[in-house]
Amino acid sequence: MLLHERLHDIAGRFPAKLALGFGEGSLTFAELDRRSRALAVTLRDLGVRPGDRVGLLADPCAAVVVAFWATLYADAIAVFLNEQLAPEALGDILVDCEPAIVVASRRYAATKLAQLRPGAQGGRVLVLEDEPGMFAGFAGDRVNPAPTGSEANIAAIVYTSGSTGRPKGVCLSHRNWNTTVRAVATHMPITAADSYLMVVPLHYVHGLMQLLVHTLRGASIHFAKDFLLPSVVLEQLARTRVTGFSGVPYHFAALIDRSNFLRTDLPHLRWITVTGGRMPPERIAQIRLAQPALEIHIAYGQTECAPRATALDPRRIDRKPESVGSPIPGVNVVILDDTGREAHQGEVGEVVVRGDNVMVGYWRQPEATAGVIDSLGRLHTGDLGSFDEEGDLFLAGRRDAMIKSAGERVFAEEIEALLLQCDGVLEAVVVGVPDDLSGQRIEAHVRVSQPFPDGEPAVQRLADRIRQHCLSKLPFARAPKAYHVWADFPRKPNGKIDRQRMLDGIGRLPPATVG
Amino acid sequence: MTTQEQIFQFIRTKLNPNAKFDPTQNLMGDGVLDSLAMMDLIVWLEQTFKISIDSDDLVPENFGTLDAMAGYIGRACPVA
Repeated sequence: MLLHERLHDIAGRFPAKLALGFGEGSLTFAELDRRSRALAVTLRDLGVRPGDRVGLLADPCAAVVVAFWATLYADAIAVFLNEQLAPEALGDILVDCEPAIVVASRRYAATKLAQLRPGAQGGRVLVLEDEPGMFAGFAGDRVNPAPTGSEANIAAIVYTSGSTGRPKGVCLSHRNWNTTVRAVATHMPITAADSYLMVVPLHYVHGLMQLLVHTLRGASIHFAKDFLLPSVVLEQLARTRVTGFSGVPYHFAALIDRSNFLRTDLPHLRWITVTGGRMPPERIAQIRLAQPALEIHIAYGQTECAPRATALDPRRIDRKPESVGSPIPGVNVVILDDTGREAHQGEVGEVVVRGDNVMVGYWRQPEATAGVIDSLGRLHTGDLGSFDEEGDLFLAGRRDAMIKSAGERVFAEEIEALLLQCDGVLEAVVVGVPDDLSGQRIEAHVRVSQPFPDGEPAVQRLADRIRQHCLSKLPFARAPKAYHVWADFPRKPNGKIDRQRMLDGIGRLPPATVG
Repeated sequence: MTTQEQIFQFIRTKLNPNAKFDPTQNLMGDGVLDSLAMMDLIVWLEQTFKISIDSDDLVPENFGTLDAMAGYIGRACPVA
């Protein structure tokens, strides 16, 4: 079944039930389905053909979720765009996926789309606020024709960073999503009695997954405006009386440290899911102690497997707070050693995923796709790990220099290339330093041209100039948080950078300076 | 330098180089700061003004604008 066929089915079963709640409004399942079908007719009238891409660029609101479902109803492909991206990076994505239409809020149309380089966006822009009737489903009595697509068709492209700096569009089909939705909804379990508070953005694959899992089970979703102040999120958890909530480890660290989360009675909240990085066991223990009835689900996967591969049974969390659990139903996970053979239990190797959740491929990048999906259709994740005797997976780092910070995946090479664009930067090394709040804190080491700036204030000014260059190109979450300026890097006898001595030298070996 | 200007300088140099000085602008709704940046700002405020911000005080009324932050700091730290 196609995803929108399932929406239609759910709308028939729970027509008057709340599907989406926003601060200022809400939609029932029947209304969500009706508006989506009506907008699909309009999209087709505007020239959207099956397989075309539709870009979605807005803060969470009823209209943008309607536009997502309408895109599927039009047999087209939805691409949620990250509003935090600088116009240049957003332009790279639009050039890559060539959307026929971009649906945008007025604010982002004015601040982001208006600043794109010429030719980056060839399609039409529909501004949500300018077309209220269109997004409210006023398309007369015309109904979208019966779905014709196949489950193998791509439903959404989710953009993720790549080590080359070129964005990679992860193509996820209706079948990919059906596999994940079925597995997650079963093992959690999620039913029509559930409700969920969404704090993660929809361009983040976990957000899109939760949208699909909850909507297609008839569960309600409340959208938090953002996560700026954890106390505001806590107030929404209490007021909306949701049964579920999820976030990256950073969200929980902020809730624990900067709100009364541990001291607030939340009788309706049944579960939380931690995704997108390692949550320190001490944090888990803090939540367990304060909220013993709360189920804590630890999940693992990546965008390329839509995005769930394993989940830890919450009953095992006290024994195994460091495990990411066992494969979800319908998904097979193995550990391969360097020779490509299946590793023995306990032996560390690459985590390899097989199942109908594995992506179709990267959009228009067959070589990159062949680099991660082998001839057997298995996804090589680049993550290292091992299984214990109960079949629970423990992660053990990465094969490459990927950094996971506050749920964002960042490739060191990508940031290093950006640093080298800065005047006076001759060499750059980007590292992830263990950090209680974000999991890994992104730090930059740069070797600068001579003469080396004279005195601490001059070094600080140089570091700030480099920082501002990065912040003008990257969302804050993806930019380095500290800048170490070096006259020369410590080196091994063969001339290669001695990364260990460099890391040990932070703040100790002059003239290394933290900016 | 006023407290508002001091906070703005930190935001512009460390968090968002495109930020514009407007003491009454809503920093929450206008996308000036994301949540990670907000946490960095809170830690910097505590260190710079030698205050400890209670979870109960971490609400938009106290941190939504530069004026609101300056007012809160003034109350929490009379010497600022």
